[in-house]
Amino acid sequence: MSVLNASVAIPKFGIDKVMGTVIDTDITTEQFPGVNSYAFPIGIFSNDGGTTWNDCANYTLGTGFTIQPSTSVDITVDSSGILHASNKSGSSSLTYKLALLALETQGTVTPPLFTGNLLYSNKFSYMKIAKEGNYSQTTTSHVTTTIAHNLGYVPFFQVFILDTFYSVDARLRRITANFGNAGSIFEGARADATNIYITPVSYSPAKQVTVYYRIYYET
Amino acid sequence: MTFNINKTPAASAMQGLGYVNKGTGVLNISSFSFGAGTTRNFTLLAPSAIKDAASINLVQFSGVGNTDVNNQWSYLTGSMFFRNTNYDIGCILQRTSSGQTLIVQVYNSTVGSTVTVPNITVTLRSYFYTAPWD
Repeated sequence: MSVLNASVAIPKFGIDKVMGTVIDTDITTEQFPGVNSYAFPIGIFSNDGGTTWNDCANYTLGTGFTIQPSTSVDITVDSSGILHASNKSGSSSLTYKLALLALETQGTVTPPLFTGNLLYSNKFSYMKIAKEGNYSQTTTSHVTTTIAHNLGYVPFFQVFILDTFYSVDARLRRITANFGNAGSIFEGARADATNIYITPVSYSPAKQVTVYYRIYYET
Repeated sequence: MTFNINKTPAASAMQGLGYVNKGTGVLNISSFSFGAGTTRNFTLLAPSAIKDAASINLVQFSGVGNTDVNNQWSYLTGSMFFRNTNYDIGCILQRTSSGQTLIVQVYNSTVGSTVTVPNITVTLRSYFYTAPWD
């Protein structure tokens, strides 16, 4: 076959790209095939055999609340691309469904296995990235950084934090909406029609953190 | 034939993470009074949820006393709680075969006082990714 005139539809906007996925039970660490650097972890877990699924997150709401799941799960990724899952209760048998998303600086990786010939399917829409980036800061108190997007509407967005909270190494994790132990000081991320506002958890003594953000078009 | 694609998928061969649904759910909580140390539960059913998909969620509480929260769109991963003058609010996301629910719990944090909670509107915006593990 010879091709004289060919055109390829190249997406104009960046999208989230999957570096690897895993379904497993009671994991503590997971090396995704072909992944050997930082990546954004997303995932869900079930502690009732798949009847109910929860985001991997902290479910400790504070004194008086009774609606917590019986466990919380923290997922992080280290510089070698190893995902760490921390089961906060430690006793329940948990089923995980996890994925790693590529950073914007990600180079070539070994693609995950999937069926079909295309990387992208017209069966789905894709969240188009309007803006992404990262910055570093030292956190000793609740410092809020404003990122302008000027989209004119409140966009969906994601924020990940790279820090040394885990002491052994620096790890990347999804930020959570957290009001701290006092329940009144905001730590997390929020948005309006003009900006997103990111307030990492404060540390004492100070820690250097890198904040990654990704803002999507409303499509 | 060689293509040099510099935009997307960049220099990699990776699968795109699509989404199948997004939507907005609204929960109106009418003003009520309750006793010290007690709780009230409310449930917001998000539209078009997928049982075992990852998602991005933004939540807005309007009418609450906490000025850091009131009318703000907060990035929600799993759970969130905050204090007001005499009542606390916590919420968690769960997904079942019925869909995604945001369970909102209001807690009277006073000692021995009945509290009247004002009208509160909770709005949840959700983007459901295709489950990349399927």
